[in-house]
Amino acid sequence: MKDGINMASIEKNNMIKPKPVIRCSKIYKSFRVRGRRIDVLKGVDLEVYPGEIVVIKGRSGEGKSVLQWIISGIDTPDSGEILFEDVPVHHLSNEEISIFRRQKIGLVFQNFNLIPSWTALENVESALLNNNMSEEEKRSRAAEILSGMELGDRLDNLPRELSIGQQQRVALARALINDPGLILADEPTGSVDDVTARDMLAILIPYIRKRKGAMIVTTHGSFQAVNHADTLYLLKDGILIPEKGRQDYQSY
Amino acid sequence: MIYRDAIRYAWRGIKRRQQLSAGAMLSYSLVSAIIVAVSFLPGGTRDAARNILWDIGAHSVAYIPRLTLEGCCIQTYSTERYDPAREGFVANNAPSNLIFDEQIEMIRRSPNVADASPYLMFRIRASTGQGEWVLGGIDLTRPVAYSATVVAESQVVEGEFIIPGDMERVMVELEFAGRYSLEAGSMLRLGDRYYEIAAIVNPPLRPGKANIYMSLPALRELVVTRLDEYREDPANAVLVESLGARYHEAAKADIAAVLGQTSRISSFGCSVPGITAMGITENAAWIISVIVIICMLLMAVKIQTSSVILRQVEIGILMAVGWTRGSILRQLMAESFLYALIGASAGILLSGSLILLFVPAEFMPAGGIFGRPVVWAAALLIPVCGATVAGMAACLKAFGMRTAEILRTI
Repeated sequence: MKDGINMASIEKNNMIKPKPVIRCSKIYKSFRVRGRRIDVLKGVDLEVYPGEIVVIKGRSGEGKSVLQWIISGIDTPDSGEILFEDVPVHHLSNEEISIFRRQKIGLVFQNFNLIPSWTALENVESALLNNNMSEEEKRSRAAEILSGMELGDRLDNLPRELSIGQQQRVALARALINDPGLILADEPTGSVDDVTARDMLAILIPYIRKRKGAMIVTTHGSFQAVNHADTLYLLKDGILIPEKGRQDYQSY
Repeated sequence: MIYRDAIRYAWRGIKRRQQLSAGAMLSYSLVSAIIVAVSFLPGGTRDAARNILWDIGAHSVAYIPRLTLEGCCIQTYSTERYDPAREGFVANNAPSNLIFDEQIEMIRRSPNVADASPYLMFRIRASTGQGEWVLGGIDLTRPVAYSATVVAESQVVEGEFIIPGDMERVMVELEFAGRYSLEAGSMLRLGDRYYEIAAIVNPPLRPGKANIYMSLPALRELVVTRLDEYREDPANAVLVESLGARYHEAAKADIAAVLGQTSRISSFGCSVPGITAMGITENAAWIISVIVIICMLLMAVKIQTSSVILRQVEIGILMAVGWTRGSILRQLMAESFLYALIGASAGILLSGSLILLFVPAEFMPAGGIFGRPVVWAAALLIPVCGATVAGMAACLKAFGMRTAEILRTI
């Protein structure tokens, strides 16, 4: 009853902000190329809330992928803090970061990054490693999600035996199979035609809305996801410039 | 579960990368095959060669030279039927003292001696009236001892080898037979007795070489007729078969301990340098094999680390989707162990089959091919140890890669 009162109160007053899924503060990252230091990220601040789709635009080389990799723990920032559901990602060990990434984050790459010698089923199944499921369970779950993406008859095909669109869906299946709270999509439609891009969004957007997950999409040009963006940023000269205001998320 | 996953992914990887897998497994199988081959073939040939060398050099003829005519004077000589200047106990063409059964028994009991046999050599005046003949009395019940030191059945040129119980048949040496125009079946007078020549024999030059060979009891009977005083069952030499070439020196020491420091032991010493030479050859074979084994293991390491480099995209993607370093390590190690186990098993099976098919039994070590379990264990464990190193090297290579760097290259 008490909970009910509180919930009603929350809904009525719309007072409590939800916690961001990810919060990046003052992220700096530089590279040294032939002795010359190149500052890629110069103090990036970013918050992404549950259910929010953030699109980051920027030219090639501006550091969009680097930002995604830093958020996912694949790369480390020179300085700054990343909190994923209040957990400081940069304080985790290598093992913990890998597990965190596997359980919490779905990665979608521009070129899909499917393992060429593994079948569609095996590629999807690879994201289920060491999660205490039997082999049959893993296969069954991977097959189920692939079937849901109309690839039920292509389970045993290698990536090269699939069309670009099918490869994209396999990559999506791998990203979504662990039901992640955050999707990081790096130029996800950079290699596909408009129809395939639309099909992909037809899978991702409902997933985010239904799951109350969050998605950060990077793109270097026009992208259909911009139309779905709740928040739009431009990454330029190492900093994020808001282009389209966050809607209701801060007072969600 | 995590190890089952690792083995499952490893097995899948092995099946998919057939050429690399075949290369790594071939390296391990060669390692095992070399271990088996080197352990069995030089071991077998060494044992076979040692057997041959034993035949040559693991025997001896021991006697006690009589330093003065009066010496210890165990025997005295009849002046009527015996001329001390011309007849008597000789060994190696020199007068010798007697050796008795209890001494021979002591030698026989030595742990370094396979057998010891009494041998009686007696010089008798020739029945032709000129010169002397040397008679050799053999204990025909002990062929192990006499056949390599005095005369062997294989050295019969004509006729048949005498047998135990032959009291009136003798064998004569080929050159002797030629000199007196003797042949098998001829009769020969020795002292007052006649003997049938059972065989013409041609033994090589040996300390126990005589002109005429007869059974020990027959010669003893003959000697009695030549001496006034004669102790029962004498011999003046002992034929000794050492337990093996490696025991030969110890056996000689045991003989000297029984017969005294004035005794002489004639033996062929080929076995010692022969075995030393064989040891050098065997050691060289081992050294070469160890070098080849190390090269093969290094090749396996190289193949597996190259495989990691070729698979860096795969590893990078797997790490990006959340595989931990532990997962990668388990998979690479599982692959490495599977390579080693499959390769080693194939190598063991192949080399074992080839040895069984093509290596003659006499070249096999004692116990045959299954007589050395330690060899089989080594043939399996050394590749597995190599696989551990190779797997660790592959892991180090993999862990040296940064996921972000790999993803940038895709």
